[in-house]
Amino acid sequence: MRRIRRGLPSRDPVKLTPLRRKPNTGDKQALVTQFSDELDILQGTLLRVPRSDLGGMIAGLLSERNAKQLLAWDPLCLPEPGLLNELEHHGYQYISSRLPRNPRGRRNQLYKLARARAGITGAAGAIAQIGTLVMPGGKGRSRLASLLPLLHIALVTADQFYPTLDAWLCTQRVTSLFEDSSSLTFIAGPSRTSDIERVVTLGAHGPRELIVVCID
Amino acid sequence: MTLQSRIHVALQDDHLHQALDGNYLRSLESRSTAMAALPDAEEVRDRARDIRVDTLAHLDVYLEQLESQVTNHGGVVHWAENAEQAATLVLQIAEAEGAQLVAKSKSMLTEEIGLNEVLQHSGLEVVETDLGEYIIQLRGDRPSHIIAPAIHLTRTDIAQLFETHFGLPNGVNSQDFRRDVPLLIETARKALRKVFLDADVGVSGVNFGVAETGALCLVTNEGNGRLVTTTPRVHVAVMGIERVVPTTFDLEIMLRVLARSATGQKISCYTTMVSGPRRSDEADGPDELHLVIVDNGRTSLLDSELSEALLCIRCGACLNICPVYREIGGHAYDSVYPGPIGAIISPALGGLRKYGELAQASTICGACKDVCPVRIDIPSMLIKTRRQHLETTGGAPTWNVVMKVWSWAMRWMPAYTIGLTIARLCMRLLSRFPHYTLISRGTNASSVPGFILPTFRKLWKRRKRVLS
Repeated sequence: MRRIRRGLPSRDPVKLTPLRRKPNTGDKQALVTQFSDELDILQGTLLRVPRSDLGGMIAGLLSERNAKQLLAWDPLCLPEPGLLNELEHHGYQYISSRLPRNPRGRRNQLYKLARARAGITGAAGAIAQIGTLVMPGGKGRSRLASLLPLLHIALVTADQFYPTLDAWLCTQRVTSLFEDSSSLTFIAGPSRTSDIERVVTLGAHGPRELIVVCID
Repeated sequence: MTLQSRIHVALQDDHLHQALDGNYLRSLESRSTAMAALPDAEEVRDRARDIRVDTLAHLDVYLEQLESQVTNHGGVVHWAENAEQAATLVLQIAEAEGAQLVAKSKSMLTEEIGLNEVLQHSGLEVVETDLGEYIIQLRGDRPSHIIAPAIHLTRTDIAQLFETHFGLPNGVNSQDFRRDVPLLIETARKALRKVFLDADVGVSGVNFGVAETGALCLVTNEGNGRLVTTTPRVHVAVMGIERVVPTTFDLEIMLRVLARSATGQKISCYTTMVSGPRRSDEADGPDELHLVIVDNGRTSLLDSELSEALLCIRCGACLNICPVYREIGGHAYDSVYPGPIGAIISPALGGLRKYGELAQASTICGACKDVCPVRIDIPSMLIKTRRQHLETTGGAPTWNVVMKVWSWAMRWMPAYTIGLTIARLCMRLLSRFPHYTLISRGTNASSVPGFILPTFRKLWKRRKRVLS
């Protein structure tokens, strides 16, 4: 630290002028459409569904992919708390992603979690201009549910759409974002790589499929 | 091998050119499309530059703020003055954990400090999890681009490599395997998935550390950055002192330009911010988080004529656009940081004697400055680096004499006129000998063209007459 201070030149501080911030006045329906278009480019999918049909639709998605085991956020953290119960009635098995504190138990649990074919989460926001989901951490919001399985289903409601990241940030108390949460992730489409001849390929390490379900 | 012979080797390599040409066309096109689509692009770039300049001007304040925020959230902050200290710190953390397997996400800084060698020397297994880096590691090769490390390899190279290491997937013949990029990626995914689950320690770099929240921001497309900071019990993040931004809003501005400049995406697939280890009621995440903040020569740049180099956010745009990089690729630079910005950073951090000549590998055309998201004046710093290099090494004796004579002649017209007339006559005589081009071997240029008549000064006079 002392070395850094010694190394610092004495110069006038740069004056950072405040930015023009645009309030979130966008028409929510238009934002959903824009988000859908952007996500399309990123090779993700947006589906809209009435609340009453949600359980059936998710069950359909899961059975098409033969996904019997699920990772998920805690029911109370999802926009539809009854969903997981309903899925269990349909015969889907939900694995708790809680990792034990001891290293051996942790590893065993990780191997168990890695068998899940699908993960179901909510989101803290959906950014229309860049087709990006805001994935918070914290109690009941497993990171691995949106990371380990090949299919990631994220549930959002129409009021969670914002035009830009900046607009989303403006609605947050930024300094408290990390008080009870160790992570915050912006997710733009399924995991991808272009490391081989710059050919874009999905599912490098994370999900190969991202389905955002907007509950109307 | 000298720089000149490395360049010579690279220029002969058709295979390399095929790979580089593909990279060049794709990356340039996607970058300009993405930048054009960014609302107020020029304003945003100005803003991004201001943020970086402000950060460096108050680096002590922001670093202390970052340290206290990371500590508040339960992380441990370590300071390292040089490469050796930094690598030893990471090793000690891994040894305290009794670690056997370390999973790494791509980080230029860990390559700068030679971390892998130190860890492996102490018996740890280290696996790079960025697909490109993984391929490089399996081959025992070196990365050739800071964003796309395996850019010099074709899918056939990679298929052969995987076939040797993992065998062919069931029911696939080796010819199909060489064509099938998704299958190659699937093969790597399987091998690396096991690494993520088994790793005791995850090591990552840091794209930006946010002083206000203590959040360490990591940008990846593959998701390996998220996995490395989530599945292992211990996460060690290694960060250069200059990678701080003051606030989350500043981070958002930097994110607007970073992915667009690097890969032409509006935003990278995963932008992860982690702050401290998992809280007691969180289901997953590491139980320990260590942040190693590394100086390794950066403080000495703060108040120097090359201080602007610290603004760099490592997007790689200057590499992609550079006409020299495009022809010779990354390996010819023989440094962790290749390309135009590498030709400044490498000598600044690694020593002028070893890397100073890299600044010669540039046409000073200024394309790098045009694409730099934070408008770093790379060309003028390259010239400064050339001068520093010359001052350090003293330059070649004959060259110095020639330049002295030249500078004297340039200032005294009769000497200049007579000198050039003699030179012209010599050239005409020389050209009668069939082997006269041999003298070009002694210069940097590939050929010695003869002097052309009429001279520029004559042309100029004639032109003035016509104009008046």
